[in-house]
Amino acid sequence: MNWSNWNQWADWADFASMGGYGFYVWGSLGMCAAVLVAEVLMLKARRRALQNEFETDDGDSVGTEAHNANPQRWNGQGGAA
Amino acid sequence: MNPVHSSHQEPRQPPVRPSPGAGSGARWSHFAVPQRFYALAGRLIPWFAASAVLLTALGLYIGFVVAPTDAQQGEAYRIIFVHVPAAWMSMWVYLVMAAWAGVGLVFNSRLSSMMACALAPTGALMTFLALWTGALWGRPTWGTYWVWDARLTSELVLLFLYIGYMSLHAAIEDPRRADRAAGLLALVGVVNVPIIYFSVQWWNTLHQGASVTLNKAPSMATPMLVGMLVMALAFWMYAIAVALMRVRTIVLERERHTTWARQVLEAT
Repeated sequence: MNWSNWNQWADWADFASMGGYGFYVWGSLGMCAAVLVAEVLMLKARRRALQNEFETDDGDSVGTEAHNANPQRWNGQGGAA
Repeated sequence: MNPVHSSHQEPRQPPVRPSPGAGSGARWSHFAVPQRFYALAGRLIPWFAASAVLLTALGLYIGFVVAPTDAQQGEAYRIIFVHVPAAWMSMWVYLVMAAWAGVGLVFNSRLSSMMACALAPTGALMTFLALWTGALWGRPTWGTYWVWDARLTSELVLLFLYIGYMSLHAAIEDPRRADRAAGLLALVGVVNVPIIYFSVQWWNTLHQGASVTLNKAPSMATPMLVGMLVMALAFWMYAIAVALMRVRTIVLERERHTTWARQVLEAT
C-alpha cells in the first residue's frame, strides 16, 4: 500500500469533484455523517427528556417515599411529564 | 490423620452465595441485572466511541488518499467505503437484535429484550444508509437510482421489518408484552437476512456479487479492501457504542420507579 498517495489528486478542487461523481460520492458520505450524528443527538435528547421529566415530577412532590410507592406515576410506561 | 482437622480444611458444604465470577455462567448472569449492566455499559461506551472515531478517520484516509482510482468505475466506486459497511451492519444488527429478542423470549430476561429494543433504530438507520448510498451508486453505474430486483427489494423489506418491530413495540403499552410480541416478529423476520445475502446468487440482479467472501480470495485491490474493512469495523464500533447508550436510557426509562434509577437520575 502506498500510504502517501495524495498526489493522485491534482488539487482540492479535483478532490471535491471526484472525477465528475462528486454529487454521488459526497451525497453518500454526507448522508451517512448526517444520519449518524443525528442519531447520537436524538439519543442525548431522549436521555435529557427523561431527566427533565424526573426533575419536573420530583419538584412538585414532597415525600419521596410516597412518590416512590405511587404506581400511577412511576409505572415505567412513559406518560406525559 | 486427624479427622477433625481434615474436615475443617475441606468443607463439604458448598458456599451459600456463589462468588461473583466463579464460573462463566455466574459472570454472565451477574450483568443480566439491569442496574449492574447500566454501570458496565457506561464504562464500555467511551472505548467503543473512541474506536469508532479513530477507525473512521483511518478508513476515510485509506479510502480517499491511499486507494487509487478504479479502472472501470472511476471515482464513483469510493461510495463502497460507506455502502458496504452500512449494508453489512444492517444485516448483522438484525441478527444480533433477533438473537437478543430470542433470548428474551426463552429466558424471559428483561435486559435481553431491552438490548433488542436498543438495536432496532440503529439497524433501521444502517438499512436506510445502505439503500441511500446504493441508490447514489446505482445511478452513475447502472443508470438508475432504483430497480425492483431481489437484492434491493429484500433490503427494503429489512427496513420495513425494523420499522415493524419498533411500531409493534411502541403500540403495546405493557413493556413485557411488547417485548414478547415484537420479539416474535424479529425472530420470524430473520428468514429475510439469508435472502438478502444470497439474493445475488439465487436471482438475476443488477447488483454485483459479493467481492469479499470467507472461502475465496477477495476480488479487489488491497487498499480498497483494507479501507472497506476498516470502515466496516468503524461502523460496527459505532453501532455498539450507540446501542449501549440507548439501552442505558431504556433501562432508566423502564426502571425509573426503582430507588437506584432515581438515584442515577438525581445524580446526573
